[in-house]
Amino acid sequence: MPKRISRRDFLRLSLGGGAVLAASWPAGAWAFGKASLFEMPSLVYEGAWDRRKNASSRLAWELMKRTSVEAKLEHGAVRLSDPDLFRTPFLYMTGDRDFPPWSEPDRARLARFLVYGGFLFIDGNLEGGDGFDRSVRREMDSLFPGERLETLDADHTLFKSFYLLDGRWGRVQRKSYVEGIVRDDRTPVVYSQNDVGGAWMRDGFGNWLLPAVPGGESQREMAFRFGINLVMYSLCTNYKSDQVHIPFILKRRRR
Amino acid sequence: MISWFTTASEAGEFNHWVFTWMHRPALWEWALMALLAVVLPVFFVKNLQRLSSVRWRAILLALRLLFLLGLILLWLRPAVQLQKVLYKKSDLPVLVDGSRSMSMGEPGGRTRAEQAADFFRENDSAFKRLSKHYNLHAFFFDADARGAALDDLKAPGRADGEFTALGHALSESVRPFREGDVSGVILVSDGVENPPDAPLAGFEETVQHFKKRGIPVFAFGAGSESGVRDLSVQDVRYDGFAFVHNKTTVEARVASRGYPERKVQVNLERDGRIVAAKDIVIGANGEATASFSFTPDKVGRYVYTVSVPPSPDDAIEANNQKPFIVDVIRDKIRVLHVCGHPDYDEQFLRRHLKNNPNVDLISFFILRTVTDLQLVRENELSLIPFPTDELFDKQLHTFDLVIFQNFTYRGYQMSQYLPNIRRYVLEGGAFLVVGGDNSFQLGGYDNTPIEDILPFRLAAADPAADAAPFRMRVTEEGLRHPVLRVRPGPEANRAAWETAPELFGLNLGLTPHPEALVLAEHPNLRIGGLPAPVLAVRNVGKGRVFASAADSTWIWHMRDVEQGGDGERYRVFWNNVIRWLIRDPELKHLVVRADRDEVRPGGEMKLDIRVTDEDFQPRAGAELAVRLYKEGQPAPLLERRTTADADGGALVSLPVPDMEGMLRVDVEETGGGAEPLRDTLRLFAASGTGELAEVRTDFDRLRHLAKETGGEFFTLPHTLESLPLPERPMARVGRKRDVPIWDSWPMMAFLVLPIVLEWWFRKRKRLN
Repeated sequence: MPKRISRRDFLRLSLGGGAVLAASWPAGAWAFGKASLFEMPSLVYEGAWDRRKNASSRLAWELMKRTSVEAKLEHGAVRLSDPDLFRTPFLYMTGDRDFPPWSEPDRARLARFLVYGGFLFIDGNLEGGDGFDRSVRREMDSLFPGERLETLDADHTLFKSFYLLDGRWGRVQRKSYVEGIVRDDRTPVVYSQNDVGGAWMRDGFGNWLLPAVPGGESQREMAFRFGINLVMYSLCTNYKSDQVHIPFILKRRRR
Repeated sequence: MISWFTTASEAGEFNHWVFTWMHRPALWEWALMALLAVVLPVFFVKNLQRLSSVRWRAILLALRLLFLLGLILLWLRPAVQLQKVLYKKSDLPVLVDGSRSMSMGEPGGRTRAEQAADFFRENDSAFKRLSKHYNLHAFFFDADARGAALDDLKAPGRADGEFTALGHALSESVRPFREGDVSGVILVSDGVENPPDAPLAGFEETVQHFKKRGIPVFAFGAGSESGVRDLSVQDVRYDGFAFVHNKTTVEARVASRGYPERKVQVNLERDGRIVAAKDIVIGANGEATASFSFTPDKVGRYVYTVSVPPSPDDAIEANNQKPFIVDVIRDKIRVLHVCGHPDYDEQFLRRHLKNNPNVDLISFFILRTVTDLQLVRENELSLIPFPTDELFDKQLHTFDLVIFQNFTYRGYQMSQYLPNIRRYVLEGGAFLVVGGDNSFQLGGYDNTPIEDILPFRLAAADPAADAAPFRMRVTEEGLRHPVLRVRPGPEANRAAWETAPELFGLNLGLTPHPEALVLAEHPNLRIGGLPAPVLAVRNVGKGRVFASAADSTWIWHMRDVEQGGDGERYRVFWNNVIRWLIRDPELKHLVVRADRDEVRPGGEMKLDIRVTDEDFQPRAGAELAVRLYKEGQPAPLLERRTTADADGGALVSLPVPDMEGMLRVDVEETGGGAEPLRDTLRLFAASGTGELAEVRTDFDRLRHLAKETGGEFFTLPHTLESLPLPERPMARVGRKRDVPIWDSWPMMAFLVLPIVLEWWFRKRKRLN
């Protein structure tokens, strides 16, 4: 749970602490166009793929506000057969019910995408039953025969790629862990069953669309932090496991 | 009988005859004959039923059948074939192993070669008997089979062959003879196979060939299957190179033969000095592995030796050591990778560098700037300080390559370090700049020491970048440059770039520095009348700089993956960039390579030389001097002159001097100006212990050979009383002549006589 911040801490972080790493010079206007910006398109499949439609945009807004990542605020959607699949190495998949098996060509494309550098975040909202979970595991078994979704341990880079976290954050707290397909030094698939995107959604007036339970707003904040870590992990992979970071991170985790 | 058919001049020319038919009837003729043979007798019988006398009926029927038979004979045209038959003895090759392993002493004091000689001496009469029925062809063999006289086999051969190619020797021994002429092969060997690298007939391949041709091999095993005592280094497993100051591992397999279980000290030496030692326990007639870890302290090419101390009763001391060459190369490439903010281009380049085992990567990603809001405690973040002073002052000289990827120095109090980076490059460092909204003038590098070393001159531009997709156009200079050589061959390489996926996003306001070489440019955009540069390189002082005005080369990887590839274009491109920047020795303009590291004294070494010009294009016609030295000696042992061909290549064969130790080959371009190109290669000359590496005989191999081919296996000494060889003298028809008998008077008489007799009987006896 996040600690409340004091006025003194606020000033220190804003004026002093920022000099630790942050630049004092604002980045120039983004002249490279939208093609170079980070994008988090939703994966379109035959099923309830669009129940968390504006979640990506809300996360992107927080990402721009809190980190140096330059992201698109409007995110598209791609099918596995879409040529643009390989143009956007981050894929966001949501769902709340079972879905029919993907075709073999689609599976082969997604497997190549993931093996050679792509990243897939599967965000399950299982309040309606475990059909989505069964379908996800079926597809993962087909994509990576002989490999299984495994629980990511607390030391995984995902939980220290920007914020220092544990893995249970989302709109709900159905599972106290996050799973993933771990291949060598990379985890190309991360799977949460805690409806993380549900915590990110707002309506047009800025109101939260769904309640974060049971922890309320502090839990929602942690869901955003988890989302930012996901993006940072997809962009920097195991950067935070480099030797240069380890003493700092260990010291901070001990506090 | 033969004389009836021959003329006087043919007397004695034929020694055999056979009856034959001169006419070979077709199918329809056979059918017609069969029909007549059935129909005519029936007709005859019916015709003769008028006669009351059964006896005359039978006589006349017999005469008519006889006539019918005569007609058929006339049709088939019988003849006598006169033949000259030649009788020939079949062939029986006799092979004796002449390799070095046959010089091995056996219990009883006789070497294997002496045992083989004893066998032929003691069985002299048996071989004489065999020679009455077979043509015996004697051979000594090692890597090849050499003909000898049968009597030569009674004395021990030289047993000095460095290889044993059993399969090849067996094939060669039967090759001169016709299919089916070889009755079998007699082989005397210890069974130890040690073929050279050359592509020769394999053992098993020969076994199957002999089996198919029905050539039995009678194998006689020289030596014994146990009894010899020997300790040997069988095999050394090592990497051909090691990084200086980095631990490397060598594994040696040591074999003990004839000894009980014992502890053995195994040494690893360099230049006669023990680098590491290990005690291992080897079981009786067993093998054990000694593993060494050591840390080379100097760059260079060194001969290391793994050795075990010889015992007084050790059969062969030469196999107690095994030398090998290790190239100790510079430490891993140390790369400092500083990224302005996380994006795909940085992600893919980092992954590429991280996956390269030769790269020691230090990464710094700027994950947050002061414009980014963070109302959290420091200990809730994983962010670390950016140690500018440590990186760009104290440790800068330790890096082989510094990468600024979409990174601005502003905001980190780094102005004072920019001159350090310039000096670092001038003194030989490598600097790589990748574009983006924080690069070049957008990162504030105009009019700084960084601009001094960039391949681009920086000017404010509006817009500062172009976001439209474009397929970069590789310049002619770029196509010749090693950085853009992503496919073998100029045409394939050109095609690879002409079909490269489009990039998106390009820094504008950049013009090439006069000392820079533009490798790729925008197909349409122009700056100051020139195409907008995309990729450029520049030599600065002793260092090198590469700059990319695009920040989207990662798309080459993903588009290639989409098409079923594995991102080769992206991978090779960035490997080339790094290799060029750090002056990888592989990118030299003159390179000499040998076909092997270890050469044999008295043998031959083959050298492959490649020469390129400044643009890495083949330098056809380059004059080259090739000199061979004994390492450490100033005077060359020999010198050769050669000229590079149209591809800038030259193949040179040099004789290896009859000596062991390190050799050095210097290749120099003569007439190449003030600074001629040079390259050096070091090789190790060793006679090797391949034949003596293993003291054991391999009788199982001989048993297998004999069994599969239908022969037999015996161990020496052996008394050759009976060898189950098929005694089959070969008969062959040399000359033949057909003499027809169907057109003779007796044949005509045989044909006419039955008709005449019937007419006469009918008339005389009034048979109507």
